[in-house]
Amino acid sequence: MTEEPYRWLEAVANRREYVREQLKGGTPALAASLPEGILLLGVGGGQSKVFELFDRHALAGLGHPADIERIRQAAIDAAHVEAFTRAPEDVSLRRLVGFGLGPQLKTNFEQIFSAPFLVELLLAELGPEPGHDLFFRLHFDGSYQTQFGGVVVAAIDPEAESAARKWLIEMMAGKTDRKEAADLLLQAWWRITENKPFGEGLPDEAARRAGWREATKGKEIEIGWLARQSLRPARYQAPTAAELGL
Amino acid sequence: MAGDRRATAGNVIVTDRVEKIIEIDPTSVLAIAGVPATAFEMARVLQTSFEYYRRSQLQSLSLPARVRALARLLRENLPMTMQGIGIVVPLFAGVDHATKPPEPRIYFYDPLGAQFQAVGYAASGSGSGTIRSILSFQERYGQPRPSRMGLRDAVRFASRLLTTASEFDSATGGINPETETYATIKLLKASGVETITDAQQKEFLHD
Repeated sequence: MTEEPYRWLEAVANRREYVREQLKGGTPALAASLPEGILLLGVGGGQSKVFELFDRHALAGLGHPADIERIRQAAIDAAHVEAFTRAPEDVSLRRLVGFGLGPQLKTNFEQIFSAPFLVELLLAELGPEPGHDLFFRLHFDGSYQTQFGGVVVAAIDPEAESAARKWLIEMMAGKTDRKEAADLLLQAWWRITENKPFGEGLPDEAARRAGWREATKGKEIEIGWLARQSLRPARYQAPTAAELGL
Repeated sequence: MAGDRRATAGNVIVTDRVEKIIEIDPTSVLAIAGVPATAFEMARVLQTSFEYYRRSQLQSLSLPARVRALARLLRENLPMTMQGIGIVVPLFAGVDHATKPPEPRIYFYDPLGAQFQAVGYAASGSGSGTIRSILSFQERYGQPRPSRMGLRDAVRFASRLLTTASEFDSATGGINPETETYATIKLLKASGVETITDAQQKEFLHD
């Protein structure tokens, strides 16, 4: 199969298609940088979508639970080794993704005889101010995009992801409150999950809110919060939706 | 948990600014006595391993496991202890979340790693003889007993214990308001660890 270049290319293309097909049932994960910290959000079965990685680092994503778990463990291992051999302040998302997770995912994706990772992830690093919050949008093939501050969405369909992000940036302009931000993220989550556009035909706020409430019934809204101001080194908290007043 | 801030090498006072009471995680505090290099490294190992466990397993390590983790480090340090250059005799306080409501517990160790749960109080280090005597007396005959003291009284009492110990033991630093040298005091509660700052100690001592 791999003896001829075009067959290898075909195998990789098939693999990409296979991964996308497998990920279809996944629901998006979202994150937003706010003045007081970073909010991460997903809807799942509890401790399945949003996770703490290290003092100022968190991960959210969708995909096969076993694959998310393997990525999470790898990131936690790398972060703690780095913190112990150097210092907790030296743990950086750029190193974790750029030298660790990204290359590992790429290598795995291109080894066409092994099972691919079924994941789409976003990773966050809390900075001293919102403009220095660093996000990585990491894909199943090891490719990634970075951005400072703003909003990040991890979804299966790139177009829906981009539309949701654009809409959220507009809607969240000037918003500083966690509750308001979480509500908007959930509205975007609902719209993506329903596979509906963000432009024409977007229902009003009350309908969007009713929509996510209905869609999250029987599920758990998983929230991660990286607090900018804290006396403790570990900034991650996991407030419930009720604690946020949702 | 309270400790003075003196580090010595033989009869030389190296510094009076050492932090010997170390928060390991929100449910554990370590008080170190002995060789600082080994003790600080033990604290760092515990901090990293407890946090690693909590993050990777999505639950905190149980109190018995935390107590044994320190015992294991002490046992592994046996060669250094026997050579007389790396002895560490710590105290460990942890919140037991297996009980309802969660309760704080104190453990003390021997240099080989045996662990013992303290009833009421424990002391370690070169000045501990004096402190244990006073604590024993106060616990039996005192009013109020140490275990019944409020925070303000307990902080004042701990500072006075360290000052008294420093009068009998040159390796115990004591308290010196003139040089703004106060104890390191941490309060372990079910909700986390609170540090009693120098400013608070100053205020409590002047009341």
